Amino acid sequence: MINRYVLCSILCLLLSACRSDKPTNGIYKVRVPMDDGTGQYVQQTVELKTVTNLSQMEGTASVIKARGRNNGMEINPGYIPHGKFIKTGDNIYIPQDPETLLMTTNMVHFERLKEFYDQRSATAQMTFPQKVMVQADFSNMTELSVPTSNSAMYISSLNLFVFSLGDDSSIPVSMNSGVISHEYFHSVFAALTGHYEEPRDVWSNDLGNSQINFYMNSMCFNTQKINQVTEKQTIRAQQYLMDSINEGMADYFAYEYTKNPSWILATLPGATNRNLAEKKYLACGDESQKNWIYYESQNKKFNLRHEVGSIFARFLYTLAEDRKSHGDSKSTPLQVLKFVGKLNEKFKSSGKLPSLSELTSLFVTQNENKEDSCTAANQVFTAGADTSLNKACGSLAR
Amino acid sequence: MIKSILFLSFLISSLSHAGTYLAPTIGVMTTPHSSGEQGAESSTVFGAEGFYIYDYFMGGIKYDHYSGANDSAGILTVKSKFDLLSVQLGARALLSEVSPYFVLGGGVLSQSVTTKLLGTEETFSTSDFAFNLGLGVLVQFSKNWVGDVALRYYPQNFINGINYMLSVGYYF
Repeated sequence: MINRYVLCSILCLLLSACRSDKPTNGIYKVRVPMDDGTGQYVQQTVELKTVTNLSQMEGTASVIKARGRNNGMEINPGYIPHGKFIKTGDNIYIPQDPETLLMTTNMVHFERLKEFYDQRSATAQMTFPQKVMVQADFSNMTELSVPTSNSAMYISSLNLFVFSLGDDSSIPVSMNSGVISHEYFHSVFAALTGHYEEPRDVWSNDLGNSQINFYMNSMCFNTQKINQVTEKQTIRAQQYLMDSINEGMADYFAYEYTKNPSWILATLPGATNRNLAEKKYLACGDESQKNWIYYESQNKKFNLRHEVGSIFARFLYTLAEDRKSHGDSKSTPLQVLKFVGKLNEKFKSSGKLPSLSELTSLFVTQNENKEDSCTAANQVFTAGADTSLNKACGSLAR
Repeated sequence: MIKSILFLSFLISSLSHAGTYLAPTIGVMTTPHSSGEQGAESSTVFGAEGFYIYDYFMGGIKYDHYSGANDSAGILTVKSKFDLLSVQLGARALLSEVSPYFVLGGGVLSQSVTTKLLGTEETFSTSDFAFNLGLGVLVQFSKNWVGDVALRYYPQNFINGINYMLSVGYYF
């Protein structure tokens, strides 16, 4: 008789241990570091509404796996996490180690970013939940350079996000709200452009190293003409410009998401060239820009796509701030997302390399009322008379 | 193997049928990796235990303390620690100097996490009822000196792990 009671007690205890820890209202409250909108990171209590299993990091917006490895481009699926938390009396889940903190922070941002793009009708062609890998080791991957620590990356060909902790003296890049938003936008861009794939076979260095200097604030592209441009070189240049625009838009959307134009400085204090609050000028005509892109794109060592993109990001930021000052905070992100769809057509149909100014004029002429876009463009593209932007903006040009 | 243990236990005199055992403990708490990776993370746990032993039965209290280690990533530091005070009830299989036992315990687990971000520190604490199932062996070295080797399994989500423990203490 006693034995039966003992066995029943043990069974009950074991069953109680197996019970689900999910809150009855389905909302987890977690404590994670967040940008307060000024670049200061503070611990905040935030809600996770679409997470189905917090410990295993599963939700409808993202599913996280950990410590995957690669064999060439084949990715080992990684491990199902076992996040460690304590639950306070107020039902707030506190991550007990940095790895759990990283995964929880990512879950929070992926949920919020999905909502952000859902509200702007940009997620119809995306696949959910998004796949995220933390603390991955892809060091054997020759096709892509994926750092094993302090990194954040979206791999378009795998539709996979990779985030790793680092041990530098700043907020880890993988927990920076702006950086996560930046990477997330790449997946939006990939979906909206029908996964514009990087043509791998065109990358080779047949133009040699182009020792071209890139000057922020007062830069001018190379004016040296390239003779006899091959089709491969044009594809490379197109891809380079497409990537640059992608980076620029990602920087802009990181600002829209964090409300902080200097979001990158919390992680990379030296990356002032990507600080949207800093003025930038592109003082070159269309031909100079194209020549520079041709040269730059043939040499992977001089990868300045973020910097080229930062000019476009500065333009979008200037426009958005102007519109916000007039009470319109919605139209700029919507216009940018609409523009992404047009980009693919522009590159595929023309077979030519457009300049950054040409792409900007394409953006400007999307709206019938282009006055505010032209005003913003004139603050960034201080070009001579030969830019297509001047033609697009007509008398509005300086 | 079992026969050998039984034979050994008959050769040596049995642990006296009633007495109290007090000892400091040292152990290792192993928990799964946050990443879900195979293997386990280990934390050194210190504490103490005291049992009253009567024939086949034993009951007492056990205290475990884990002081934690700073685990950092960039400007973020996370330190997790716990204290566990539990009541343990067990039954011995043999009345001998080498005495295997089964134990069931439950008590208050007090955990805290301190997160430091940019010089700002915050600590959260929580208390839960935690229980364990365990197996151990009591070994009597002399009339008053006893050793205890045990493992206890904590199945609940908030302390999911195994505690491997060793103690040597006084029996009277």
